[in-house]
Amino acid sequence: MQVFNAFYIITNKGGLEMGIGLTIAMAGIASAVVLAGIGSSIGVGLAGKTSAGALSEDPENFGKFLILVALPGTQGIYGFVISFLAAMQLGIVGGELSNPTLHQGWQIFFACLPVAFAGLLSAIHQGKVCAAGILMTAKQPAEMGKALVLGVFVEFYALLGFVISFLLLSGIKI
Amino acid sequence: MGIAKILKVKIIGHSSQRANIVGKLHELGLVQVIDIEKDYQDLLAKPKISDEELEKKINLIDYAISYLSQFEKAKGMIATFLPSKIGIDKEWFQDTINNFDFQEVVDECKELESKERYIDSEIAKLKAESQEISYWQNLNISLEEIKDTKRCNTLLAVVSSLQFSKFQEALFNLSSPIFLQVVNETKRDKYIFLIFLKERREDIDEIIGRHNVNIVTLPPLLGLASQNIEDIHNKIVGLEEEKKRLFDKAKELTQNTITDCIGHKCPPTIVKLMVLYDYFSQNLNSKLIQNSFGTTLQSFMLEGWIRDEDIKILKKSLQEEFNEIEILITEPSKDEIPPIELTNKRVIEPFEFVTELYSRPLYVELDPTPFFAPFFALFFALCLTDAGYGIVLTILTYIGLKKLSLGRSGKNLFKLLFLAGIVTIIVGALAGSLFGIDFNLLPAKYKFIQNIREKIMLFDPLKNPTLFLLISLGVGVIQVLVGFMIRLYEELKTKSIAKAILSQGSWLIFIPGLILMGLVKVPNLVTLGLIKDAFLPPFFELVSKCMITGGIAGIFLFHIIRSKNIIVGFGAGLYGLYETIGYFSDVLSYIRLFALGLATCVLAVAVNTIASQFIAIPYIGFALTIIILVVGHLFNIIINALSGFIHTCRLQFVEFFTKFYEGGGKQFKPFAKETRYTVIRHQ
Repeated sequence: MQVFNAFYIITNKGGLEMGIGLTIAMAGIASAVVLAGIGSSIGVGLAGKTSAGALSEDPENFGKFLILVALPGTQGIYGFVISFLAAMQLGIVGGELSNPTLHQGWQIFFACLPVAFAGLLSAIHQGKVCAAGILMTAKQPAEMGKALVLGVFVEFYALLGFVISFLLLSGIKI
Repeated sequence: MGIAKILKVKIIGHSSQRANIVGKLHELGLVQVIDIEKDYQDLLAKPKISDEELEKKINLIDYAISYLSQFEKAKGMIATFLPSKIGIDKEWFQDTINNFDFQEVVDECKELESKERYIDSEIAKLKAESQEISYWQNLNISLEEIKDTKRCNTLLAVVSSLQFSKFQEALFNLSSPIFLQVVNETKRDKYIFLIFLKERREDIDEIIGRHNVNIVTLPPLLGLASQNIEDIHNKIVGLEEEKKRLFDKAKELTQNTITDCIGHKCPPTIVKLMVLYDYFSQNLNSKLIQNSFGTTLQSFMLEGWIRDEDIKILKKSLQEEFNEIEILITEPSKDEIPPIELTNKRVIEPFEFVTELYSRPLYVELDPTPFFAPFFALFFALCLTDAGYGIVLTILTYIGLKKLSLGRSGKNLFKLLFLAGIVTIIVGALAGSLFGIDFNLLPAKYKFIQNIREKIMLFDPLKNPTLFLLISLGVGVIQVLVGFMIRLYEELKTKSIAKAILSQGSWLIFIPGLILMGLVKVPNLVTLGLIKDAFLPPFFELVSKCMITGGIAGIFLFHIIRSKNIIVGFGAGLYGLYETIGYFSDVLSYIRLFALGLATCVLAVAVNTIASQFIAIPYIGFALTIIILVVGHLFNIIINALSGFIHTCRLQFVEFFTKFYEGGGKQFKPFAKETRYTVIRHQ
């Protein structure tokens, strides 16, 4: 808190208080997309690599693998959705740019964190589960449904992060 | 509804009619033949029936198909996911079986493949050769001239650059006439051409050995090295052209549709191979199946499973045709596990896709399909929550059903999505969202649309997300409770009534009691507009308390009765109550419906907002906007229909099925004319 206060004082002295709230909020908005996006990229990358290897055995499986590869991509979308909502709330998209106070800026920043971190880690681990699922599907094509369901187990925590981010955002009044 | 009744059938017939009876059974496709009972095992055919010639034919055709299929046109996305069979006219099928000489095609494939291999190895050899010579292309004498003369020896060699100066020095120290030319150099090595007197051969060899110099022998070629490289390159080009000609020939076999003299369109050769493959495999199957039969000198016996409703047809058609035959039908005994055939009404049937994804029910279980089908459609719809997306999905799946030739499970999946699409339209209308359009922005003369929307709309997921969240949890509670009810029903059939009611009924009172208590105690609900007064009348509090107490008492009573010991039972009861936490997390799991639904809504708005930014661009703005709208919404539909489907599956498998369903039944697979590639079209 002291750090924040110090920040507040400094910014107040510099007369920058109006802009700094927006800046901090933007840092939050950016981190939701960036972190969840990194997670999804790594996750999809893991699953993609594995599927490319497994495809060399039987290229006919492409359609099946595609779904398993796409699965860890959803976290990035959740991050994007939260960022978009926050951006709308601030009027960055579709409206007039509002000027949040320093506190509001931090509120938006923290509201973005659940989806950012839950997305980052769950996407990576979901990628691993999906990669294993791809190897299973390559050997037992009929069991693909089970591989999908296993992957979805990991995604649930990104969804919880998304829900909390959403609820926090909708609680902030600007 | 649910699981078809399966009975056991025994057919005993005269040996002379055996082949005909098997043929008839194959055609009817009603009986799943199994090995005859253990008691008769010594009647099994010995040695096992086989047909090596037929197997060999099938293997050859299989080889030709897999060789040719690499030249086929790439299949579309749907085709790889839901493989379909090729429709063949009956006449044409018969014609292929009678007249098509597969051996010729197989030989052609073999020849093509061996030629291709030969060309590949030739090209590899030539490439290696040209690589070898390429280091010497600066050598300005013909290669055949590099040979020993009367008094001199010649050498081509490679020296490491680090060793080169020492090597050179050693040579000059010999003080004998030596010619040394550095023909080529790389970072690591120098390529040298050496001429020296024959009498100094031993000294030179010693120096060469000391400095790790590699002597190079070039292939016996004529002319300059650079000329040779060009020749080799031309040869490779020629070979590659020949390879392409081979490929074209192979492609011809897979693609050309030949119109014969009568004007019928004949499918390409590869399809003919497929027809033969299917035909021969059927023949082989009908031979191999006889290994399950019991035989004596004069008679044979087979056993199998049959659906109750098919018995009449089987008896009628067999007894009509064969006089010496006996058909016995019995109920399956307790230790036998009959296979499963799901029979559901037309609306429910598509959802068997999901049941089969998990596991078929055991014969003694209930088929869960009709129970989860309505939930499935509703949950999927909640994940999309957009009437527009529902419309698109319905139309796309309808077109898919009409245009694509799909297998049974493919059809079921499309029908399921079609039904779910219709439910999505309804749910989307109730949520008032259509392609994420902000109706407040509509011009004044279209305000009536907004009015209609508000009349239908129950809630706006974006404006009132808490209500949406509660709806998701609410449907979750309902599904979990339905799960308990099904379990109660199943236990009523097998266990004592008191035990069944105490074990499952307690939860059915306890959980709603808890929820009612929650409703009474949470004043927040007023602000959400769910209830009018701050508290439900005190009466409800009393009711909820009674339900909770009754539920807990029931759970304890059940465990005490079961363990026949009050203290042990009490402990078990406490542990039983702990399951509440598990059920609580089950219900929380339904939050995913809210999250997915919301994500779809916000993404739809995002697509619209992004697209609207482009409309200001002069000339191409409008077209660009349309493209972004179409691509964006299509992407959103696909990605969210996919997540919606998988997450909804998970809710059934993990939250719903665990309450009452075990699964593990084997599919009923009657002995029938099954095919791998083709299917006969009935006109």
